[in-house]
Amino acid sequence: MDVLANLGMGFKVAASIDGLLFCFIGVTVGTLVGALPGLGALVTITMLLPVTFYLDPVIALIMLAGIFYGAQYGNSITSILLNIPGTPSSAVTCLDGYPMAKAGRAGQALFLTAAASFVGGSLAILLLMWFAPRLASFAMHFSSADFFSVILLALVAASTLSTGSPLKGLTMVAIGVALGLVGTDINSGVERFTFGILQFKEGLSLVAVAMGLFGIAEILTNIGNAAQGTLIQKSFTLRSMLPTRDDVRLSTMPTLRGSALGSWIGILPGAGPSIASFMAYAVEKKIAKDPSRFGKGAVEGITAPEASNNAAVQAAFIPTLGLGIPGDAVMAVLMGAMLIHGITPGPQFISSNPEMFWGLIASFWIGNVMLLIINIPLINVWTRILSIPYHILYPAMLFFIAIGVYSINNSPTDVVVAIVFGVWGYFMIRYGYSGAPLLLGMIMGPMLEEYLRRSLLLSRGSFWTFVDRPMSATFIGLTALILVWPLFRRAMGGRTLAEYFQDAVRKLLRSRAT
Amino acid sequence: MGRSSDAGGPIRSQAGDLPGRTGGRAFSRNAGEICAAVSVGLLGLYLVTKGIEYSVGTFRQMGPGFYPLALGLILVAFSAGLCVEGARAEAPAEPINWRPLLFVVASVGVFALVAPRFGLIPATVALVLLSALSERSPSPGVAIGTAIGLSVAGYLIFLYFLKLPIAAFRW
Repeated sequence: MDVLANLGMGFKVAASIDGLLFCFIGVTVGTLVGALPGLGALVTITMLLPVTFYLDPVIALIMLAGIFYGAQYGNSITSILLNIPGTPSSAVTCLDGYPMAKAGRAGQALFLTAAASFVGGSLAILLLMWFAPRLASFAMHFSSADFFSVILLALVAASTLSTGSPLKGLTMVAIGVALGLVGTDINSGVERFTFGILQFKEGLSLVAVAMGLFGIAEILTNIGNAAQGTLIQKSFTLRSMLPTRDDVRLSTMPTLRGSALGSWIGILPGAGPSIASFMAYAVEKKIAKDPSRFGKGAVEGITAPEASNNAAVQAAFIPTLGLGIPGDAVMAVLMGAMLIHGITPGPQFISSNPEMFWGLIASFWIGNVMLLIINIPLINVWTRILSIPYHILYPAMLFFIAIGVYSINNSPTDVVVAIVFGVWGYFMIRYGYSGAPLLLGMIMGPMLEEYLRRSLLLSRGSFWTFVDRPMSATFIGLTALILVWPLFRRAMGGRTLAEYFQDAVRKLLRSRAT
Repeated sequence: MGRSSDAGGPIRSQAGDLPGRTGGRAFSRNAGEICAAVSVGLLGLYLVTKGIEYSVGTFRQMGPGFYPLALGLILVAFSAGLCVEGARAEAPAEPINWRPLLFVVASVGVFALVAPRFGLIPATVALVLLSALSERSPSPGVAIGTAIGLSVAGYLIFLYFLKLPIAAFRW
């Protein structure tokens, strides 16, 4: 079969020494970063972007992707042992994971979440293998107007679905797009918003902005508030981690359901692992025969969300690789990495770079297997590392940020940009603005402009071109729906999905204090 | 309040939904948020003016100023909505940490100044020591230890392993 031949080609790339090494580095760093509250996949990927300049593009992507999905394995560790989520998507794992740990079943909880994560990731990879090439060939027929509309949809969806206030999310996207304007306009040669600064002629450095907004701003936000606690259990024997037969019986269907749910949610731009894990938990609780078991250590409550968040994260590659549309900030940064290496993402990516696509997929398989091994036998290593206090951690983070930004061009200007965005980001986060939409806007903004220009050129200035074609009209329709929906819900007295989600997380955190 | 990046950082624990200082009017307690909303509007206005300056062109042939103009108008519209939202919102629970702000900025800034002139190691040490000062009760032992550790690690990773074109020491 075609797929097998392609996979074979992919494995040749991914199973090379470089491929294996950097896959391992990626997933290990990812697990670490996912486990440590205070660090995130996004910051780490951005920090390591400059490092990947010296690597082969495929290898670079393998490593960076590894960090991304690796983080979804490690994030359950602190949820279970500390009742503190490593990343927001494992917040629901605290609900049943921590009670399990208190009941002495921490080892089994860790095993089950690792296994569930593996199943979730694997199913999503299968979906990726089947769906992405089809999506890409479908999108080959897209016109400029279609592209404009789908990018607009992705930006609107990403900014309104996950953050608190849809308006604030949209504002950040708009600001991001505006930031993308800095530099020389390709079409006219006019320098826009460069203020005469030489370094800005090529545009604002993505790495500098991202490091500032996510790295420095995050550190500034967390310095006074870093949550620390003592781990319930520090060392585990392999035998104590094996789940009981009951556990396996109870977890099978939730894991599969979570994987399916997560895979489809992951494809949607804007809906990420957090929404996926939360919804999986809600679904399991709704259909459970005895919902009162949830919150007290029900295995369904940890396996479904963990399967779901891993599936979502793996499935997020479908629009990114198949269409060239990133679903969230991390994907946007990965696409930025591709651009830096001279690869143009888009529907033609899979057909023009098959060895890269299939190499990545092969590395996902390898990576997920590595992660299963890392997260079960090596759990004791992680518990040691988790004991590192924050006041050693954040200087290290600042150091990596500083040198990372500086080393791009050996230019202090980039560092100043990072600092400016760090401070600005700190204030914006305080007032409820999230940085992820801005990054998305900055990366997709130039593309959006280009497609707008081409569409208008072809249609001789008529805006009807965006609703004339069926695909474009569908996307515009969906965009309008997403924009109008929150207003509609609020008018009816309900709450938006984002608010509902936020409330639930807040309630979860408050109930932890008891 | 919103969270920072979804796939990135942690959830900050919130002390609770404080209704804001009682006795203050909505305006003063949300001054910060309204400032943010207004600044968005100002940015929008800036984009509009610059857009016109860069020549807007026609619908058929977008000039370099078309996109900035459109964006600017959108931002101004958003800013109005944000002001309304800001007036109704709750105040952030934690006060602004000025001390970490100052020292973190200083530490990274000093790094950028010191690295080209004196090399990576001095810059690293300066960064760690300055950032340590942002704590309420800095412990010199930990700071010096971290400085040494990071210098060694930094040298190994970035200069030896990755061969970045930065000097370790330069007097």
